[in-house]
Amino acid sequence: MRTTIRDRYRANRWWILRLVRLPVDIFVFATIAFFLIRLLPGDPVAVAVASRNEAVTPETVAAVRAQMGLDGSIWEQLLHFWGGLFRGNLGDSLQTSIPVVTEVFSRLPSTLELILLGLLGAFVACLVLGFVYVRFANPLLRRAVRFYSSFATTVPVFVVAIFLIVLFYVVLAWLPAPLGRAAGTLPVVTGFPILDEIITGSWSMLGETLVAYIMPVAAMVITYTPNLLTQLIGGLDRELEQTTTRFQVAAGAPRRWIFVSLFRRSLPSVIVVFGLFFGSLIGGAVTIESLFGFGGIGQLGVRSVQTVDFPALQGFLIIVVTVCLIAMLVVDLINMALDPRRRPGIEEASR
Amino acid sequence: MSDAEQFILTLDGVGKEYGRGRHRVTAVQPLDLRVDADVELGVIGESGSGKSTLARMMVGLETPSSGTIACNGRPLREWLSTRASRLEYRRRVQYVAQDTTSFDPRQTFYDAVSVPLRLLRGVRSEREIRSRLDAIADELSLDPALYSRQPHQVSGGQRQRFALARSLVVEPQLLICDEVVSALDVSVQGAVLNLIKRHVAEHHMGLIFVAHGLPAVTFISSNLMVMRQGEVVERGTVADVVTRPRHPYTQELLAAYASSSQKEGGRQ
Amino acid sequence: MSAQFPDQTAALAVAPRRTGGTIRAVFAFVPLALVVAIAVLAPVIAPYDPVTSVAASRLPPSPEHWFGTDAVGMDILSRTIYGARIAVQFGVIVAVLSTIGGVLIGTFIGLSESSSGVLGLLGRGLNQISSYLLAIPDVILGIVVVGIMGSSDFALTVAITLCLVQAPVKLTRVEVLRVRRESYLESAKLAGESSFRAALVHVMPNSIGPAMRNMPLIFGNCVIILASLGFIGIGVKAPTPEWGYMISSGLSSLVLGRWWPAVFPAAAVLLSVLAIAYSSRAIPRMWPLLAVRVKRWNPIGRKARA
Ligand SMILES: Nc1ncnc2c1ncn2[C@@H]1O[C@H](COP(=O)(O)OP(=O)(O)O)[C@@H](O)[C@H]1O
Ligand SMILES: [Mg+2]
Repeated sequence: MRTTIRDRYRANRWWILRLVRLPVDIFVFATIAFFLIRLLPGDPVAVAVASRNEAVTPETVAAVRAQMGLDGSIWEQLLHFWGGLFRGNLGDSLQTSIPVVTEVFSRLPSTLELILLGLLGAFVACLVLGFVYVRFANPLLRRAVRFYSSFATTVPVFVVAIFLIVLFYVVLAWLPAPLGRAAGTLPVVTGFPILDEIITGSWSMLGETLVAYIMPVAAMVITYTPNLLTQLIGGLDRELEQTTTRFQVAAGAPRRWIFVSLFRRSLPSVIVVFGLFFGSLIGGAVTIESLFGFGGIGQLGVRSVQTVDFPALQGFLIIVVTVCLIAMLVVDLINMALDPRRRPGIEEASR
Repeated sequence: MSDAEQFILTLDGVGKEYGRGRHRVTAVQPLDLRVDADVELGVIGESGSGKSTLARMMVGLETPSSGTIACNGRPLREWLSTRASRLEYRRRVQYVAQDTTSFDPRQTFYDAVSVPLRLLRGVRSEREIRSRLDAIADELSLDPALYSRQPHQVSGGQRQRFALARSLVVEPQLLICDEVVSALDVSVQGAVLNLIKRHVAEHHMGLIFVAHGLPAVTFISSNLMVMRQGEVVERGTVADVVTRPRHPYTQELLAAYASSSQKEGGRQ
Repeated sequence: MSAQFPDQTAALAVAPRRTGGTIRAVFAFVPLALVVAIAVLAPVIAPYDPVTSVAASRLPPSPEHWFGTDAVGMDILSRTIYGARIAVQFGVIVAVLSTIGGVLIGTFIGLSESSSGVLGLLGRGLNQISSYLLAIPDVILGIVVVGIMGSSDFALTVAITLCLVQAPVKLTRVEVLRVRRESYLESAKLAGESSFRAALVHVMPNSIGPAMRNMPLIFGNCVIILASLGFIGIGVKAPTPEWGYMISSGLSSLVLGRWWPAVFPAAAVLLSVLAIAYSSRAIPRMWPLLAVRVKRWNPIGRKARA
């Protein structure tokens, strides 16, 4: 009996270990972040006091320091910080006195929604272009696809969005001004605007939101498709050379079947990129939100900078990176499920 | 002078194992060895028999997993512990590696070969370095025009000879050569062997000459050690081993050489 | 990245295609050089002072003001040209700082991480920290660093360098791990070199290639991050002609149909990042070719000594 349990553990170790690593990763990162922001040159207390145009007395300085949680020795601060971390409490915002975790999580869904829509769009566009790339032997078309894919990671997304606004709002006047999602207050159930509008049945608002999303999502798709496309094209090129493909062609397998097989083998390298550039998507989303007047985590970050809201900045950093770490976890798990060679145990055994 | 001190190298039960658990490989089984100045020792064995590992342990590039190595009665560990004695040890024992990638791809041969002169022999003047280098290069029939080349701009044989030059300029008491002629053309092999033999004799150096074939070793050394799977299966003077091999492996080896040289004789 | 050494053999293979090669090599630099030239020559090229009001506000493009004027009557053309100066200043400083820092840290990690004792611990720790910092989105790290240090050029430089130093750290570390296994390090040891000397003379020079070739990429990324931070309103201080900030302050006009205050700086960002991206891809490809050329120009220097 015992051996079967152990065997079952062996077979599933890859995802169990990967899951267990997440809290460890979060804890280690949070600790690094704790030290990083305290080791930076410059004193947030001084910056905050200076920005308040009040008379600077030792008392006010001490009060601000205590508010920021920067009083006491660094080890006391660390213990306090760890204690909060385990209880899911990263302090209160100085500005609003609301717990930072609450504040970030109330804004995170709308940012994530934007990112997921952009990611989904880019993924679809990437598949379509990849299909064009293998389906049509036209060299000009292939070069065009290759050329487009060479724009990976070069252009900032908000610049693309500016040109979209100029074209579709200023010149053609087809789309509304970039002034937020929809008029009126959005219903909040889950925090994801579209989802909430569907749940509460606010159909006219949903329509407005969808229209407002056209330009930002298009900008993200245009900007981020090349990142995925380079990987896909690289994978496709590699797989086209493989004997498996040649064999399938020689054996007269149906065309559709060959395509499906080709894409299935090329996709893992695309998925890896998801994890790697999820972070830059968050960065991009922050600029996009600022451009289109969507409230999101970016707005919170900028407000915290302007008010020197130390606890908010610290919590903001930790939560955003936690989201990135979770995204990487998901990508890792999907990848390991698709391709057993990437599972850690396997690697060891073959060594 | 005590018994141990007169030997340049004394190996007592020196063995080496790589890896642990299932991956454990015994590269060299514990062996004893005394190496004197003025003695040429040939080591042969098929590839993977532990010759390189043995040679590398003697210069501290690998640490033995058992036993001790001593140089003139003092443990190697002690020699290598301080900067001054480490340099002194390098002055006494030099090693020419088996592979020919032992030069920094960015350095010219001149720069590479002058390093041991500066650091080990304390030669400062550029002129002195140049003249010592010329002397060795002449012996090795290396064209001075090659000094300014980088490793990838010369042939493997030339690189190997520069590697020899780098060790010979130090004028060590003991030279350890690890398959230095295996990578060379047959035509160059003879010349390099001759040179090593002459140089060692003139400077009264000790020599440990590792090779996987018999002919080079019998030509260059008076003593012979045969290794197989990390174990020393035979040792003695070349004459003894060749005429009266005791271990079946050595007999096999000799028989193989005898038959191949007969064939060659027949063809001529 | 693993194909470091073959570079030189590749160089020999390319060498015969002489003239075509040289022209291609020069063209690899042209876009980058153009951006830098605009930055350097800004005072000469720009028709007006970039930070004073020189005309009525919100004038559309005209022969006097090719790019129009902004909300306070500053000349957008001049500001856009000076914007290149700001971008290049930050780009060069950050690229140099993070490459030097990255090479030093990467070499240290690569050499120490597998040793036991305090150094090994430190090396592995640094490597882990670097991996975690790599997971922070650039813009987010920028927001936090600027928020804590207070907004200043120094804070921006620290923020962007922290984002971008990780790439050269990782690139150099991988190279060092490769180089450490090379047998020429053992030979250097036998020739009497100390490990410190070997690290300086052999390990570093043989490991900096990828980090050096990554420099233009850092430059480009720095321009992007700077513009993004400026755009969300935490970049350089207000009247400074920084592209991102110019775009964001042109937004309110854009909504009212006055496109020029936002579009010209946006176009400047677009063109410059594309130019830098082109060069940063082309220069590494030209690298071996250039190396051969340099060697050919200066073949005597070494021989004379030998
Ligand atoms: N660094 C190492 N790690 C693990 N095994 C090694 C290492 N170096 C050598 N070995 C093993 O030790 C044995 C002896 O190798 P070596 O001394 O190089 O043989 P030779 O020089 O006689 O060809 C071989 O089986 C080899 O695989
Ligand atoms: Mg060997």
